[in-house]
Amino acid sequence: MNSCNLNQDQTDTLKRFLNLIIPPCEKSGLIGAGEINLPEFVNKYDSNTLEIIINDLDIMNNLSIKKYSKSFTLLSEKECEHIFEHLKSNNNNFAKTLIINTLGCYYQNDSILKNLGISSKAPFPDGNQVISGDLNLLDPVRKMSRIYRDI
Amino acid sequence: MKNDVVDILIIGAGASSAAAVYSLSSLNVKILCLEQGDWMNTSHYPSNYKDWQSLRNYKYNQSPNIRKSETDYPINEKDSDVQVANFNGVGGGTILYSGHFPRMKPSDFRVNTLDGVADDWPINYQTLNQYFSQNDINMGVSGLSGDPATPLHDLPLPPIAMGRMGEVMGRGFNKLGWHWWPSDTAIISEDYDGRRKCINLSPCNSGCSQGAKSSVDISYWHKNLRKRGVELRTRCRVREIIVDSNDMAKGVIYFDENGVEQKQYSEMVILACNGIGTPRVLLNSTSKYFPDGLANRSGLVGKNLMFHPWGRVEGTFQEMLHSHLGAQGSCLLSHEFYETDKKRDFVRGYTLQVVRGQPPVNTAIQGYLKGTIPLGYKHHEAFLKYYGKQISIEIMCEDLPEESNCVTIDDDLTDSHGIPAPKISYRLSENSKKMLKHASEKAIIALEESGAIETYSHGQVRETGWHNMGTARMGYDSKSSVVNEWGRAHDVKNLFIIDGSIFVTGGAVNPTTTIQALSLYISDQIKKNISTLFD
Repeated sequence: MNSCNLNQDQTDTLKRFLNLIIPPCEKSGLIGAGEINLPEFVNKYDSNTLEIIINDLDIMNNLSIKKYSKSFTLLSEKECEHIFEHLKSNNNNFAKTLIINTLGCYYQNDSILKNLGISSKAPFPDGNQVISGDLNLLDPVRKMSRIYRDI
Repeated sequence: MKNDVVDILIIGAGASSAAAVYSLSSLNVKILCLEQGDWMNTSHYPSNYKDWQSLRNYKYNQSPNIRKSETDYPINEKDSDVQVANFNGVGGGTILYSGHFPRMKPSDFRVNTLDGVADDWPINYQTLNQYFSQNDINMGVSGLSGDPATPLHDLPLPPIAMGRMGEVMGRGFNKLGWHWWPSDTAIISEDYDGRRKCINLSPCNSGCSQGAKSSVDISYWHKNLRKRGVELRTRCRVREIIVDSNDMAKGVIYFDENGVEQKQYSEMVILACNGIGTPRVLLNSTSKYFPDGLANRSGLVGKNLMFHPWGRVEGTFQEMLHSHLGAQGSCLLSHEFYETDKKRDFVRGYTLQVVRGQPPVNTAIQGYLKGTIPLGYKHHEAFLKYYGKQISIEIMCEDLPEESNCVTIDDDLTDSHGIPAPKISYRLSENSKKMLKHASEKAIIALEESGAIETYSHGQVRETGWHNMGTARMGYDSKSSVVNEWGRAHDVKNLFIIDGSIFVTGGAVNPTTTIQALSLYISDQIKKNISTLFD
C-alpha cells in the first residue's frame, strides 16, 4: 500500500482496518482491501476527504492505546471490532467516508474484478451485449383498451 | 463586430434552446446563443476510462454542488426536500439525462377541469402533437408504437434492448394484468442521422461516449450551427437582462470567457435556462421599472416550483440477469397508475419506471448503506448475491404547484462571477406523500410478482431534482401567470421563455420531450406572428 500523506501509524492502522472490513478470501482467491492503494485513490477522486479519513484512523488508534495499551494493528480481531463498534455507537457516520472510498477503490481494482469475472475495461468502445427482449410478451397489453383519458 | 445588435438572443444552450434555434433559423436573421458552460467532448466522458464509476460519482456528478465545476453555479438547497440535478454546458441537462422520453398525456393539460386541482394549461396535447413528432425525428427517438397508455404516435427508430430483466418484469406485469411498455427513449437503437447506434455502454447519465444518446449538442446544435446567422458563444454567463422605459428588453449584461463584463443588445430575448436558472436570471434583473425582478409584476417568478417527487424500490432476483448492462435509465415503464382514480386517497398519478441495476461500485456502496451487504467475512458472498441481479423501479409522481415551493435569490451565495445564486425552498405535499406510499407498495408487488426474492424500498429519494418546472408559468391572465399561451412574457413583449419553467403542471413523466415540443411550438408562433410580435 502506498502511504501518500499518511504517517506509518496511520498506514498500519488503515491496512489493518481495511483487511477487517473486506478480508481476503482464501476460497475465491480475493485479496483483502488492505492490499489496495486507497490513499492514492482518495487523493485522485476525493482528496477533500483525506483529512477526515486520517482523523478517523487517529481516533481508532488512540482509542486502542487508551483501552488496550497497544496500537490498533496489534489488537485481536475481536478487539478491533470492539473499537470500531464503540466509535460507531457514538457516531453512526464514523469511518463512513473511509468505507465508501474503500468500496469504490476495491471494486475497480483489476485483480479483484478479474477474480469476480467482471470486465475491468472501459465500457467504450466495445460496449456490452444485451438481448432485445421478446416483444411478444406485450400481446396482453396490446389487447388492453385505451387507458389514458382522452380530452 | 462581437457585440453588434442581434435579432434574437437566447440564453442557455440546452434542450429547449437547441430546438428553438433549429426552428427560428429559418427566419434567416442573426441569432446569438450565450451559454455559460463549454462544448462537451465525447472522448472525455467517463465510459472511455476504466475508472468510469469514480469519474461518474465525482467529476460528472449530477449535482452542481458536488461537481463544483467553474462553469456551474451553486444552489442553496438546505431548505428543500429535493436536491437539484442539472448540467451547464452545450446540451444542458441532456448531457447527463438518461434519455427516458415519454410524452405528457392529454389529461396532463386539463388537470383542473378533470380533477379540480391546480390549473389547466392554455394549450393542449393536440397543440403540441405535431411538435412532439418533429422533435422525435430531430432528436432521434427509439420506441414502439401502439402503447394503449399514450395517444398513438410513430417513432423513427425501434425500441432499445430490454434485456433479460425487461422480459422478467414484463412477465410480472402481465401476471398482474397491469400496463407496461418499452419506454420511448432518446437513444438511437440503429445508426441514424450520421450517428452510430447504442452499444449498451450503460452509464448513459454521465455522457454517452458513443454519441448514441440524443443529447442536443449532437442531435441539434451541430445542425443549427450550419445555418446562416446562428452563433453560439460558450463560457458566457448572463448576469441580467436590461430593459428600457417602454418595458422592452434591450439585451443582456454578461461575463465573457475571460470574465470581462460585456453588453449585448438584441431585438428579442429568449430565456432557456431551466426551471431554476430562468427565475434566477429574472430575479437578478431588477431595475426601476421592475424592482421585484423582470417580468414579475404578477409576483409569480420563482413560485410554484415543481419537481417530480421520487421514490425507489429495488428487487433482488435469484438468477443472474446482467441487469447492470444496457441503457441505464431506460428499459420499460408502467402507466397503470398514471391517471386519477377517485378511489385512492390522492389525486393524479405516477409512472413506474423500470431501470437497470447498478455497476460493481454502486452495488457495494448502496448495499453497505442499506445494510444488505455487510462488512467482514460475509461481504464477498453478499456482494455476489446482489451484483447483476437487481432491478430498480423508480417512482415518478406528479407534483402539484404550490406558491410556497419556490426559487428565490440567496442573500450570500454567489457564483464565480459574483452573481447571486438561487435558493430553493421546497417541501413535499401531503398528496405527494400519499402517492409515494401507494406507488412504493405497487412497485413491491410488481417486483415480487416478477420473481424478486427480496425487495428494498428507499422511500422518497432526495437526490432526484432532475425535472425543474413551473417557476414562470404560462397562462392567459397576467395576474396569475408570467408568460402568455405562446411563451411571451406578459410584462415584456419582446421577452420569451421556452424551458420547463413555463409548465403549468408537471405531469408524471420526464419533461424533456414536452419542453422541446413546447419550444418548437413557441418558435412557430414567433414566426407566424413576426409582423405583429411586439404589439
